Amino acid sequence: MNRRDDGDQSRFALEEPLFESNKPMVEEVPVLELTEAQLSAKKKKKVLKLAGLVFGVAILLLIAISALAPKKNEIPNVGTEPEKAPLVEKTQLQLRIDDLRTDLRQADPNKQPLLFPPLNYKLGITTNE
Amino acid sequence: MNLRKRNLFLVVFGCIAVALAVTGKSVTAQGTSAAGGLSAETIFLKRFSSEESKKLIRLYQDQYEVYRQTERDFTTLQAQYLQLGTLASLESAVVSSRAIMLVRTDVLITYHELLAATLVESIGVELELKQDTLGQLQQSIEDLKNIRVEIAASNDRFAIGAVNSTFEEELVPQLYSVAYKTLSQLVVSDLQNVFDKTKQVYAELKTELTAKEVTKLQLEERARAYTEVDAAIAAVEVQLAAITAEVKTEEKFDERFYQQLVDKLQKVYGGLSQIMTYIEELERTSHE
Repeated sequence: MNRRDDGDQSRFALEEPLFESNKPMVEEVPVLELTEAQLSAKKKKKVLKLAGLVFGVAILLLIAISALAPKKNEIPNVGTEPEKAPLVEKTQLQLRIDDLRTDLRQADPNKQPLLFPPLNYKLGITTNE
Repeated sequence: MNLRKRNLFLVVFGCIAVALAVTGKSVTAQGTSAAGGLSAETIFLKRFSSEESKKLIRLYQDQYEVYRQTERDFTTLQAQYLQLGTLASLESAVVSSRAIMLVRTDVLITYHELLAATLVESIGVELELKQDTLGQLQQSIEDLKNIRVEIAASNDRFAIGAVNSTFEEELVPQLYSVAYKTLSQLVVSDLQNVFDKTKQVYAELKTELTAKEVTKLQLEERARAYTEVDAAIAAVEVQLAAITAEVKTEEKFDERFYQQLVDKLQKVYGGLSQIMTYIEELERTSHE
């Protein structure tokens, strides 16, 4: 029966047993001892995981280093002769084909720079009248 | 154990971030350099090669800036007049409306002078057609100069309103027509010019290739390649001829006609680009 049922609420706090737990007791799970073979398999799995991670990190580092390292044909050597060599090697015909490409880009009908000026063609003073 | 796992995770994550940042940076740099070549601004300015047209384009850009500022002032003063309705606010609105009309006329005069200079410099427009259009452009410039004098001489809002009506209702449609006629001729002549040059380069390439000794198999391959290039050239030639005839006979030039023309010319542009790719490919074979 609930102690509050008699109407005396002051008794509840005093008489409540301290640290009483109403929770059901959890049954202890017996710890199973692993066999030698199981232990070694677990260890092997752990080592494999670690090796995989190290391998992944190494690959990522390699990617980063290769991207950072300047490529041989990209080194800008301003004013040095070997840089200009490929341009000099172009034949007259190749240069003309390059010019044609430039001319074609300039002749793009969608890029006509002289379209009619976008001005206000409806000016005039609006009055309140 | 958990701490060690977390540390490992952080190291891996850090490496991925670094790798992504570095590769992203290099891709962006490549994109910029690849897109390099000619920027839109360079293409725009390269069009105006002579000293005269360079001077005119600078003047046009400056005047357009002044117009934008004057338009802002006009809009503000017009709104103030509508709100206050006083004589002082009306005076400011009238003065600003005259100012914007004068600047607008200046922009249009320079624009037409620029069109005329560009048409004179263009190669590929028939001489008779060019002279006819140049005459019309000169007439537009004269009309604009005359109306500018009238605007400057208008002192009250009624006089300004009258001259503005003449300008917008009579002169502007005429200006539109002449400007779009000129633009149509320019846009066709630009591609015609590139087409003529392409044919010349192709002929020279053929001569150069003929001089080289090749095997029978290579000779057959080359013959098939020539057939493809010749067909592409013939197709572009037919398209260009039809478009040129259309521009010659058209009587009502406006923005709509011009847009339709640009759409048709896109096919020619694509065809020319294809021919150039073929020529580049053929040229490369001469070094093999």
